[in-house]
Amino acid sequence: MGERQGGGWRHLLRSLHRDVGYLCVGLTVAYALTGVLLNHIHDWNSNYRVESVARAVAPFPDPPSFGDGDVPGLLGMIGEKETPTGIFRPDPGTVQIFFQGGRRITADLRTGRLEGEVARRRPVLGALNALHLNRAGRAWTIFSDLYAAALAFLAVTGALVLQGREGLAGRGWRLAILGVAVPVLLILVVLSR
Amino acid sequence: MSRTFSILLTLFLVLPAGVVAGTDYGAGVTLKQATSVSDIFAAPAAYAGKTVKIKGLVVDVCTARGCWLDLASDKPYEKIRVKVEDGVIVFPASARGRQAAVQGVVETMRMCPDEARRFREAEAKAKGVRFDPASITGTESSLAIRATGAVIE
Repeated sequence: MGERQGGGWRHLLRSLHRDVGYLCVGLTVAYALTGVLLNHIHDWNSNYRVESVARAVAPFPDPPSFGDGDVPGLLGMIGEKETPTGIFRPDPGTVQIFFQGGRRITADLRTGRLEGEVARRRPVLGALNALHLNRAGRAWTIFSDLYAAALAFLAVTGALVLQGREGLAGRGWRLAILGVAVPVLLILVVLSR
Repeated sequence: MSRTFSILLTLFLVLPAGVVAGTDYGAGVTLKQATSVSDIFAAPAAYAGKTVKIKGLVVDVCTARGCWLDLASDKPYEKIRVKVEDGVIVFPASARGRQAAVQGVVETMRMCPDEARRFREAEAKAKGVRFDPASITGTESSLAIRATGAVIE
């Protein structure tokens, strides 16, 4: 009788685990992908693709005397027709000219080397990263709380659906402890320093 | 079923729009009187720990996390780093070249050589330029604004 009852709730857990798993599969893959991307954001920028192009023009004769009035002439040398949104002098030999959308031209006035640079947002990865970092407002916070609860449910039901040697009471508990031990060890060894 | 699908579809379309809309960041800017960046550089001790509003051209933005921007001073060859808490305020790369007002606390960022190397290395990677760790030989300190809000025009 007890075994039949146990089989009954295990069957229910298995069904719920399967259906909640289907609901969560898309977001879980997205979170896993963006988790890796955000961990390595300084190695590969998954939010923006930075494009740059270099050009060479004649060096400016007296770089420190370069003024805002010289900018149209400099841009004319490379056929740039867009009106700048701003100009900045980081040092006496360099001028930076800004355009709409964050585009920037950096000119080394001494050598005549110009470098144009623009950061283009990666539409899909950038949006997924924003969701991962909870930048979509209150509604997304509520939704992701529900998703987190569903993940916890999947973890618990996943540990309980199997019986016998393959179940939690068999070899499962050893693997579960191993999984918990890694972060606990890191907390003790690395974060307690 | 079709109603649920419609709601989910609406959320899917509206939420990303909310992410990109608007020019106010964080708590915004409430101070009326602006302090010039050159005044802060001229007397850093007088402004340390004080909440100020500064204005200027955005000359650089962190493209990796959007967690800092550089604001040009009113004098040439000067700029100040505006740092925000990671994830709380996220500046878009398109802010570069636009005028911004920022409110926050003036502070001196002091970094030991290891911190400075990590900081400069990350900064160089974000900019796509080479970094030589040997170029950092001691502690570094620089003025910065720990911002609570900003308005980008």
